[in-house]
Amino acid sequence: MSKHWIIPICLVVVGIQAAWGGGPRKPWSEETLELFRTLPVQEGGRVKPLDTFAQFRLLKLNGKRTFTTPTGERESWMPWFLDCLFYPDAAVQYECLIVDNSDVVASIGVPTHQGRRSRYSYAELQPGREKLFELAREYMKIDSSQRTPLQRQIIDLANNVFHFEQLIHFLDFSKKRYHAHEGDTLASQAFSDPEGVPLSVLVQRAPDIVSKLETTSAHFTAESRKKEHGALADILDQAARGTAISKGIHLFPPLDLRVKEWLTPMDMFVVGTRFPQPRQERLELLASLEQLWGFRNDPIAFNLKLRELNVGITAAAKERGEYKKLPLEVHFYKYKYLTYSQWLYALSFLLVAILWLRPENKLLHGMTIALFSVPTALLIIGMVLRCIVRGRPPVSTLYETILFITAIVALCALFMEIVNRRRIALSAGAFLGVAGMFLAFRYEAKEGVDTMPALIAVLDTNFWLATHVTTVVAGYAAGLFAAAISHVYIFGKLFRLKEDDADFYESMTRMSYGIICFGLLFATVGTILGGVWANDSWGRFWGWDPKENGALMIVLWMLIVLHARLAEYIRDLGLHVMAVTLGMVVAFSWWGVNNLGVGLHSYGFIEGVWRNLTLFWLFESFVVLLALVLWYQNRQKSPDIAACDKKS
Amino acid sequence: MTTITKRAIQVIASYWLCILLLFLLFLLTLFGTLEQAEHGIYFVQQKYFNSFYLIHELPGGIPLPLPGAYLVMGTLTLNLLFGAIFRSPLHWKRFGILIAHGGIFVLAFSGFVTFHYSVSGHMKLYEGESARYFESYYDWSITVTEVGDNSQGRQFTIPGADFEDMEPGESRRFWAEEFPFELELSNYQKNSEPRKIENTRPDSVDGIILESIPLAAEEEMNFRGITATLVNNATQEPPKALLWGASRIPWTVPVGEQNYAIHLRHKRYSVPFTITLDKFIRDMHPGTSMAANFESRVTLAEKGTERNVEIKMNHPLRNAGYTLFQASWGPQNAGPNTPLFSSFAVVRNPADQWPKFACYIIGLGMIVHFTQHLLKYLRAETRRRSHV
Repeated sequence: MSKHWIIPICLVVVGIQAAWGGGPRKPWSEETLELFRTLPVQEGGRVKPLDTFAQFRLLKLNGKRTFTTPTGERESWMPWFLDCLFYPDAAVQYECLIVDNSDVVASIGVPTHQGRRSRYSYAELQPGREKLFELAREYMKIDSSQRTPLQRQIIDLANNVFHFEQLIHFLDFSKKRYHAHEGDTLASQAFSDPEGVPLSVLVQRAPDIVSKLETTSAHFTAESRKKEHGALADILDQAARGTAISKGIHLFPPLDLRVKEWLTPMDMFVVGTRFPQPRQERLELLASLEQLWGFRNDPIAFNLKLRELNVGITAAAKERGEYKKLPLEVHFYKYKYLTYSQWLYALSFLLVAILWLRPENKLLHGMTIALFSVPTALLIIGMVLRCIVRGRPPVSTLYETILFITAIVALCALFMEIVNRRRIALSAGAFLGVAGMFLAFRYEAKEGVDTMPALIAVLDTNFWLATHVTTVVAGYAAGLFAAAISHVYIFGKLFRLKEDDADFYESMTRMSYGIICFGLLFATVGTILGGVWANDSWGRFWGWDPKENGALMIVLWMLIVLHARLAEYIRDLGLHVMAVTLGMVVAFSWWGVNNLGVGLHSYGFIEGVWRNLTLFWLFESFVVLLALVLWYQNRQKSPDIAACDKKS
Repeated sequence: MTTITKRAIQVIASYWLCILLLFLLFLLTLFGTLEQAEHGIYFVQQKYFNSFYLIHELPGGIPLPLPGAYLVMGTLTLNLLFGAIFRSPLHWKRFGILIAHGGIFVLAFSGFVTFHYSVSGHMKLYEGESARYFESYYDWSITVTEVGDNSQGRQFTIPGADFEDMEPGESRRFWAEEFPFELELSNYQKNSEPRKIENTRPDSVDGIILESIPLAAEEEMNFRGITATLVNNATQEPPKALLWGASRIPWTVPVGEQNYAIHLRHKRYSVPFTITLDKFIRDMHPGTSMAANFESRVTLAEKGTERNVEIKMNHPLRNAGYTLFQASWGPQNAGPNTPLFSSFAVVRNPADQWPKFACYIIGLGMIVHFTQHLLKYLRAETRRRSHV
């Protein structure tokens, strides 16, 4: 999303220092948390649970889904989110704003923590706030491709601070009561309450005053008309200022089913008092929300009001047909399928390591296969739930390619292990399972945005997402799995593992070869289907776009490997060296081309990708070099040893 | 068959040539992809993929001569064909492989037909506007049209190929028998912009020159510029004008009783039907600036009949050998009452659907072949485990 809108809004916000109420922060009850989790909100073009909104907001700001309170308690996203709304004076003390480079903090004149990467509280950064936004404004003028990492990080921090402020000031409108100051006017009669009126009452009554002013206009003198208008303008101005920053959460479904955009408290004020045809939106929901602030230290009353709000918004969302999949999304995040999958893959990997020490133990082998199946099943269940929630095939974003590739690799590994029971496929599968899930979580934390976003128009086709995207990504998975098996071969040879077991190595060659064949089928069909889709969407089958080229490079490299093997130009070791290189080609196609910043498939620049890719390529080049040394040594040794490099 | 012919066939059908060509294509694809970040897709496509040969610059400026992808793919197709005929024994075990290679041949052939016989461009229409033509993205032309009340609407077109190779300082003359003048073109520039100058220069017209500027990475952003002089024996001072590719207005010049409009613009192709944009609809995902859907409601008129059609992303209109795709729209920052335009990519490609069939054939061939391999592998593993 463009960040250009942030800076002007920040200008509006500058100086707003709401006199928020204090009060001790109490632990939130499970009932309260559940009622908030299931509250529908609209963000990023779709309706989602507040649970999803809150966790990705914390992930974006904090780089992880948990935070630590000043008293050392570790809490998850929902208590943090509720503290931001209802105990902002406590929330500003939480160190939940991640800064990757302490130079960012130093450049705004704020004392830095020890260490380059650290988390800061809003209260710590606040003295440098104006400087931060000033610098961010300046750097926004620079073309994004020309910005230095420091400039990008300053813009990111300004963005995060802005989002944090949107949360802590979200209920500002409900902390105030609005008064008509001018006596003896229609406004002062309508808003005669000595305490002032809340926003919901103001929005309800204001249109009547306008209407009365219009109908009785002839009875007013010029001076009294001016006074009437002045009084009305005064109270509306108070409300406008009160709601100026209450627009971070689109919480209220519009009454008109044709209106797609949900409303914020500010929108409720603007739309509700829009002249000459005011629309009375769901003011009872606004009233419930504003009363929550007053009840925040009374759990029973708070939960009663919250339930009212939850029931009201849920009913409205149901009426609009936007609620159906929401409970499933809450369930998906609540049961942490993917988190458990990651840890169980790690456990499987450990068990595989033990299995290598006790290779004859069939019970242990069976247990390892069974254990490896559990995270795979969890991953697949998680992906199926995501598909149902989104109403989409399993892969439509870069994040989902990671999950899908991990699942395909795990399924292939299970299949091969069940067929040949050599522990090799299981080892490679468990390693890639851990690596895949780790990558998924790292990517999610790096991006810090909802991983189930709305799709751009060209991707709005389940047929092509289900065919082209899944097949081509299955080709990626096969390339990586073949590369992983070949690593086992090369390191096995290097460390003289099972030196006398020629069949052990031949089986790896057969596996790697077979997986490349499987990969070629999927990569080729997927690549051509991509062209057929492009022909249907853009009018050309092939445009030499970087992503298309990346897929083609995988196909070409697989063809080279298979033809070289067929013609006997390469033998076992050669095949494995080329399979390792295939992994490097897949990495380029999967991550590298997206970061070139050109083409129709450019998903935006992801900072740090080139550095990580370079490290990966350097390591893989080193593996290839080791394999070449091995090849050279085999040539120097007796024909018996060289025979291990014979064609299987 | 002579020994030399046999040897030549062996070489053309050989595995080593196949692997070499695949590797060269891999390298070209890699270099062509990386270079796009700097030079844009059009130039890279011309240099690496539509060429017979090229010089690639390695890091440190070391030149690396390479065959172009056109030559590589052509030779690869020959290798595939000869390999299938002369090298592969006909055996049921290789049946799948033969099918897959047949599919690749269909794919390569459709690529050849597309490259040589397809035309593409775009048609931009505001709501209520109609067109019977589309404009090329990259090809230029200069058209001279008789205009005015008593004109017969005669026209002659100078294709870009006839003036786009002009060197600096070179001029060329063009004429048509039915037109009473010659058109002299000079000072051709690949990318230019008009600039006002203080003092008159030989290449200036009314105090304005067309200044050559560096080429943009995106070819669509390069606007040709040329000086046109109308040479007519009847006039002492031949009228002269600067033609600029970005200008939507032609240079109109009177010669005798007749007016002539001279226009430098992208090449136009006529289509055998009329498209009228009735309404353009854009839907955004709520609360975002991300397009959820954009579609054009058009009226297609041909041979005296009319029908209403919707063109949207992934749902093109195919008619009379042409395909119209919803490509873009604008203006991007349009307000509620701003008139919108819709832009269609228009393609005429005889091989339009061939890749789809090629994909089916290749997929089928590979499934047959690799299933055979998989079954063989499973049998071998079962045997091995029963021996253990």
